[in-house]
Amino acid sequence: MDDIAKRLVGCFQTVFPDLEAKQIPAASQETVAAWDSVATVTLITVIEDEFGVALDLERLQEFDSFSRLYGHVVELVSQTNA
Amino acid sequence: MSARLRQVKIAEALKIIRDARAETPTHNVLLACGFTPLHAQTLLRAHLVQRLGGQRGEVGSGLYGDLCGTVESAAAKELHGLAVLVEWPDLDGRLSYRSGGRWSELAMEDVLRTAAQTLARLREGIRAAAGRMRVSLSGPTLPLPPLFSTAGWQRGEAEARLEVLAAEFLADMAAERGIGVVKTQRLWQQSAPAAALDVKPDVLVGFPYTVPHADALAEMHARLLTPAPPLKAVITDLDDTLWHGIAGEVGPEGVSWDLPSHHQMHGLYQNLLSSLAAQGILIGVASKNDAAVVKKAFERKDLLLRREQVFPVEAHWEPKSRSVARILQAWNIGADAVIFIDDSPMELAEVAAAHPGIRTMLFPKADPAACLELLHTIRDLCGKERVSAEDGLRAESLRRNVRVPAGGGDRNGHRCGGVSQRRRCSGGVRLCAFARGRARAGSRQQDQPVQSKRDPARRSGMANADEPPGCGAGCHQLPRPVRAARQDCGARREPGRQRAAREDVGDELPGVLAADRTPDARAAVCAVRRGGTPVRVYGNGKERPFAGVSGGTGR
Repeated sequence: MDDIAKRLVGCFQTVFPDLEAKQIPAASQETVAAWDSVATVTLITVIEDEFGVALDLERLQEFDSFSRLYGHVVELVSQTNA
Repeated sequence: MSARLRQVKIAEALKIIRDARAETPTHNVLLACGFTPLHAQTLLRAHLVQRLGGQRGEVGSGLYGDLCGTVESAAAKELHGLAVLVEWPDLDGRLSYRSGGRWSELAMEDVLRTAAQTLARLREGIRAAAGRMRVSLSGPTLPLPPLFSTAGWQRGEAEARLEVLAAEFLADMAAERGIGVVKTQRLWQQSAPAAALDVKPDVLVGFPYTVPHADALAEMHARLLTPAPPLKAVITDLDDTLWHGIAGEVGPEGVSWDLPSHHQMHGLYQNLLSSLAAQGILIGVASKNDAAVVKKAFERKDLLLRREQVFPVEAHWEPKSRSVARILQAWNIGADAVIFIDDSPMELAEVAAAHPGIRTMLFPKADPAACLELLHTIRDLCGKERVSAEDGLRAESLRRNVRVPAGGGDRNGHRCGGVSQRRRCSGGVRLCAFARGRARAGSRQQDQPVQSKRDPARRSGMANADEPPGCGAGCHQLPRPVRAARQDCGARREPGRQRAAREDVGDELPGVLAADRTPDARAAVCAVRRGGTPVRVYGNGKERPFAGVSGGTGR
């Protein structure tokens, strides 16, 4: 697990405190009962604060799993560093 | 402003909520807003947990777009508080960025009518809830959409009327008991209006605030829902604090606090203290100064803080920590309810070391902006939601009941080590015969020439720097209830007034059962409770069982 993934796990733990760290990489709206649209917006805000990037709220529907969010954050961070 | 905590981010808010003590009772609040509560709900909950010292807080919400319905539902629920966040779209949907309606100047009359009706409904709903729980209310905090015909820098008539409607609504609510209205000016100092609206999440998810704005608003609501008790008293220095200049050097007429002298900040400070005194905050003075000079300065008619608003005045050369100790004793309150203000960091440190819990604040005499912030901070700490007629009488009541706080002083609480003070002591305060005799003897021994304020010999010239100067009757060496009773007993000998006199002392001095007004002042002077057993305390310090005072309540 790389640094971005570790930090992203931390963000998930903040929003879903009942979720165990090992469950998080496989987490999605399907598997986490508490993950509703409000939780998505909260998660996005926490991720934005953690990584200093701005996620596009218009793509809200796409942010439905850890893996998708991870891919998006990696993309944004690499753009910021470029 | 100083009272603002640092901004809380969402991750931190979630952690605060998670760390709330599970075993504590839950503080239930309903958040009433017409938009998606989202971060406002999280942040309000976190601020409530913080304000409640880690107690659990729950924040519920109502239906989207139904502010009135949510407010009206509150009265029927078991809640500790109701937070009402009103924004323009709540008054009429056409004022929303999410509205599908047409913008038309012609529709403005209808918008105003609808807004007035909505506000009337909100008034009733909030009043009903306020009878059962604490209510916090914020008025529209976001800018209106550009739907008016005027350019953005011009206020059109319809826009102005809308703002008046909202302002009248807030004024009405502010007048009600149990309702705290967020002060928009303060909110804007913490969250600039230009940075309050986040239109993208407003349009996409129905949440109109930026996170910093939501945080500032949530914090103010949490403060209003869980109001901290105001501090009870301010102890102030005089030279270069209450006024500009050193009275002992330039004389009582030489100190200044007004605009022509360019020392207006001292005048503003006096005005604030005077205002605090009027609302029942106790104002005392601790100054290393010549008492006669201080007395003269307080006689100046242009002083904005009136002499009768100050009690007691400790003006002498002892350490200020001792002055503060005596003032606290006279007030009968703890240091943690008091602010001590001085222009000297050394004096502040000395007082802080001796009185843990006291709030010490530097008077920044050379920095008007910092002075203004100090005034705001003092007001924040001493602010009261309502001021009663009795509040303004508190200092006068203290002055009457605790005639001399410790070691003598005049009936206004003036206290010093100089000859003039001792004369005031025996003349101004009606002491018992025993004390008067001691005072006469003491004055013969202790009279010292008055020297200049900064002369070190002045301090060494005191009869005993460790012994409180004062009347010389030895009153300061007696137990406090005895002192108070002794100082009072000579004043009221009429049998018809004995009972009232006893009750006065008992009310102000916890533990005192009754003060005995026997003509022989050397007999027992008061009765106090020692470990549950009433005892009579004698002037020589001896105690005997207390079997009640003739004509007294013996409580």
